Amino acid sequence: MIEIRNLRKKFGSLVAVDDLSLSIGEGEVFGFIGPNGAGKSTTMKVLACLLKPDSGSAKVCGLDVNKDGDRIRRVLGYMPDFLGVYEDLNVDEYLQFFASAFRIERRRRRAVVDSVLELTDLTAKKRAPVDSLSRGMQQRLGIARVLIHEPKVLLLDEPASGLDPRARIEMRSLITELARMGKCIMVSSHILTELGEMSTSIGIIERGKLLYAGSLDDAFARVRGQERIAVGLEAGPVPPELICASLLKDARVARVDHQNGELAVELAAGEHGHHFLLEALLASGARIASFKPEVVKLEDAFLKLTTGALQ
Amino acid sequence: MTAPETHARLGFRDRVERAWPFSLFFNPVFQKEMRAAGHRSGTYIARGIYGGLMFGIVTIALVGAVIESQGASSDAQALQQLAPLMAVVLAWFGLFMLAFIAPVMTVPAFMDERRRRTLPVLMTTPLTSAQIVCAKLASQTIQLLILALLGLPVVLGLRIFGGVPASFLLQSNAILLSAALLVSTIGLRFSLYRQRSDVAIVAAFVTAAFIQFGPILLIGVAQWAGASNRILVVMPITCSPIALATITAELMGGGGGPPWGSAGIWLGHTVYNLAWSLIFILTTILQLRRVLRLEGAGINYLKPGRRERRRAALSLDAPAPAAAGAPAPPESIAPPPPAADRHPREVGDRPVLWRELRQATFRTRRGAILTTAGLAIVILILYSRIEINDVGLHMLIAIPALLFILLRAAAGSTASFTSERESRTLETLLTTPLSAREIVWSKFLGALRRQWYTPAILFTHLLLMAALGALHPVILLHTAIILAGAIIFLSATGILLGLIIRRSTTASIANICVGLILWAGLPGLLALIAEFLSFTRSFPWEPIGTFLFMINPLGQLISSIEGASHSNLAYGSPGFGTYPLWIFTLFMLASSLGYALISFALLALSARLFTASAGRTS
Repeated sequence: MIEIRNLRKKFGSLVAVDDLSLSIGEGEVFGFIGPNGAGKSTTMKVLACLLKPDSGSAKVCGLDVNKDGDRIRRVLGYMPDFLGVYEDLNVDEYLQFFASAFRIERRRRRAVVDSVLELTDLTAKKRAPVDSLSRGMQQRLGIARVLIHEPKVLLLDEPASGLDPRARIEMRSLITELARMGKCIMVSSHILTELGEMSTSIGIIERGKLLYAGSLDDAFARVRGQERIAVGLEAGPVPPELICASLLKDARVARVDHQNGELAVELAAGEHGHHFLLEALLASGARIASFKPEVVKLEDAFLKLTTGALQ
Repeated sequence: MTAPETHARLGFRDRVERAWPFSLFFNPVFQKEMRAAGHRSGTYIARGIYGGLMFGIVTIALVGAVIESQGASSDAQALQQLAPLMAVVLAWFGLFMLAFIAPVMTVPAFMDERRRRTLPVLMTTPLTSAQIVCAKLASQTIQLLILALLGLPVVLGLRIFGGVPASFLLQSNAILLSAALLVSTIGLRFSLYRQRSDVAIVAAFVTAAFIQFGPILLIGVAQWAGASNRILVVMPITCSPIALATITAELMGGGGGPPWGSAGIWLGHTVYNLAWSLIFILTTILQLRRVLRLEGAGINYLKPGRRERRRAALSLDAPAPAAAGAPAPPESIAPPPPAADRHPREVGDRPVLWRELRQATFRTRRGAILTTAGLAIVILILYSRIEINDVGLHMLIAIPALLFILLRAAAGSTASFTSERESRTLETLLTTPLSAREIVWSKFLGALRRQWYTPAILFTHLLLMAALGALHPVILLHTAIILAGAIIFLSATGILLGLIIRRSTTASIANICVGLILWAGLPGLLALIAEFLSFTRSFPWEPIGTFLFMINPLGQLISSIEGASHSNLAYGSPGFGTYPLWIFTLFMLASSLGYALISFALLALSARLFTASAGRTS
């Protein structure tokens, strides 16, 4: 759905996006991660036909951003990081306005507006003036607006910024729901936990360069390298040293450390299964108090994937 | 030292610091404003334009003097003859330019703060509202002084080589600087209480005109009521142009003026301007206190219904925050009641046009009723005092109406795009499939629609006069043609400038400048050239002058009213004498058609530029 090849965009001497290539498929939620000023919004604006790239190509649904702006606008919904609103309109009129702008027939408009209001849980606020809405409501209205013409691709620039925890959760479930509907969603944020919970793939960008793009699992696997499991032991007839020696006999275990009644087991490269370890521990006579595979967070992935990358 | 003692001492020191005039004007807000002005290219462009125009006038005068002179002795003689005229021209130039630039500088003062949402941040600082207002005014006044000082070398040259008395330079500068200060303070006041800069600019100019010319109207009414002619001597004191005209007439060897002489005029007028400035400063300070509290409570005090919300917010007995410089505690302000819900209207198939056509001319119905009632009273007074067959009555109504229409057309149309950009809705609009042409034309038609009110008032008067037989009915046709051409032209230039220039205030002023240059600047320049370069008798001044006059809506309207008031329908213009109705009508039509064609070309250019300026790729 989105294909970017060697994209480059400069503002004066500042290279905002440098040789960026990525592709995003249907039903995918692509989390675009990077610090402020990394080039996320610039990339999105290029895709939304709001900025002309200096070089490279960008395609949305097979349409070139340089040539097919008008057709792209019909299949793409772009929500900027700041939602400007028309103060003189209420919620219903605001959505009708954009329904009309997207050339939705007058007789269909009412149904379309009602459906997006319902999807975004804004039906109760239908008659409220747009500028009287809270920040969370306005963000939801922004989502409703980008959905009005049933786009195949959604570009959401920091959709959760400034939202309270409840609104963030609601926004997350809304995006997940949209992905289930088969939309290709590119969502930018610098709040990693948020993206980690809703993205199926991520791209990490820093100073205009894409440092990583791929599935979330792959990113975690890269960070994890070799999986580690912490095993808490209760005092028992078998001393921990013997348990360690017994585990090391298995080729799937790379290393075992013992300290204060706790074992740190490192699996061999490429090994992800836990059941064999559990069985081996029980067979060695260990009394297991706890069994905790190490959880890798997106923050860890981000730190590991970006450390030293631009040095 | 105990804690209460510390607080008491700090409080006293704070009070002393705030009362100290230096910190009232020169505080962090002042420094910020000066730095911001230093970073803005507009500051230097304004100085460049001001200096360039002044240089142009001086050059024309000097070239004339040099060509006319025959030798070294006559050079000095020519310069001495020329110097008073140049001093007068420079004084008038300064008066109009500074009075024109002053609100441009002050109108964005609080609007920018509001747009960037920095007013609540200011509220959290120990700065008082008096310090904020005075610092903003001081920084803009310094910018104005810099402009005024650009002409200092020329003025000193006139003084030394041309023998222009120092008293004239002092008096004229006192008049023009005090007038600029007055307009600055009015601009600052409206900056606080208007949502859109174009409305604030128009309101500032209208208020300034009311303060300057209102007393003259009152004097006129008093005279009709039987007051002595002696009250006429007060006129130069209340009006900057009349004050300057009086002292320039004295310099050029004319007479007139009040019995106490020019010294009394400039001093009286300067005091008059300063007194009004002080009133505006004080009211701005007082209003800023309220505004800061409302902003702090998250209340949009500019929205309709704000009165109720303001009342709700201020009903509690919270101390005024800026009285001691401290912000009001948030808990003392009631939460704003929710804005009233309204039944949705059905949006048309051309959404931008739909929205533009629904933009209200007046913010509230009450405002519309009060304005209409006020105008009706003024017009009825004029009807009761002036004979309806007197052409002066129609001029008295039509000329201010036309000037307001032009000002409104010039300032209002630029906001079409700048307001979208400032409220950050343009980017959203650009992601829709709406074409640039459709957006530009919708904005243009919306701008035209918003200007209906003043032409309607003017037409009502003319229709009534035509019905009563005081004016020939053809005046309605002529006025429609004249207004259409001028409004369409200024609206189209406004759309274009609104696209090119990012700041709404700058765009509005640039468009006002277009009208001023075309309809006042060019005829004025021509008059200057003719005056200073009077040796070139063979140059076709008259046809050019007539052309400029006849494309000027003010000249056209004056000619139409005069023509329609004559029984033989003879229409006059300088240079061509008089001509019959049909020729005049054809000329009006040609002029209006020319404006319309230029406007359509400008709109086509705007549509082309729209894609590029907005960053749209295709």
